[in-house]
Amino acid sequence: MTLLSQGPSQEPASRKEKSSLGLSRRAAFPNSFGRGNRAMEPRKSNHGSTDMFLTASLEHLDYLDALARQLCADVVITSKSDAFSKMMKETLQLSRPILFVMGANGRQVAQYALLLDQTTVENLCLSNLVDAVRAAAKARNQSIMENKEVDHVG
Amino acid sequence: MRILIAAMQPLLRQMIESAISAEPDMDIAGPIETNESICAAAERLHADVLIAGPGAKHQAVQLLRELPELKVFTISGDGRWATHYELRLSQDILADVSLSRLVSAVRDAVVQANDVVGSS
Repeated sequence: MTLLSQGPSQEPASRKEKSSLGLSRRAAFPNSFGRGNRAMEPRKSNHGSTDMFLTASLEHLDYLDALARQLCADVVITSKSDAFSKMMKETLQLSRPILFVMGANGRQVAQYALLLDQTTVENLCLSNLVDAVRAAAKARNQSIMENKEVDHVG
Repeated sequence: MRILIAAMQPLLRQMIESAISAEPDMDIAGPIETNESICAAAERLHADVLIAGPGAKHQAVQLLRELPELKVFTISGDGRWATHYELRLSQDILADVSLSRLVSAVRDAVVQANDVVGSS
């Protein structure tokens, strides 16, 4: 799994070292778009997780969504509370990545994800299909409006 | 509201189109062009909702990965029931998080997301 962390980076972009999470950190800015970065294998370590690695560290949120896409990040970890509005406004274009926002004290973490929801409409007739479609479309538009409002607050 | 109807038996499609067309707040989006995928058509036509035949069931998750705001309905072959697929935002608060617990939560979240995609 690929992690994208947001926050100040102390090391040069080309340097690989252990992160404070014990994960293998790689500041990687691939020179090509697409999903080719999936081919990057996590490095084994003595005391870190072998199935995760950090792909990048960002100073600013401006390119968070674009970089998450480019690096095919599964997860974004950030300490910026406004990352939620930033990511969710644009992450609704993505089913992933999962977003972890760490609280200021570092002890509380908010986890956001888009999960698949599946419901069945039984005894289907045209009128209840139309009703279900209308309700779904309204929920979609409401969701878009709510995210715009969140963005303004942020 | 823009409704795209795809991959459906002609008679059922005609019935649903008639019902949708009769609604003043709904428009039929389309048609899908030759050799155009449902996903590409939904994006091009700015569809809010896709109504499709049972064959699109297996495409629903892929469609939602590409177009997470889309609402997808698949109609069973006998027309007696429909399944509604959508992505919903979930929020969990993890309190008193240690580094090991955070790593564990990250792993669980990704595994869960992969399970959803893999099991569909």
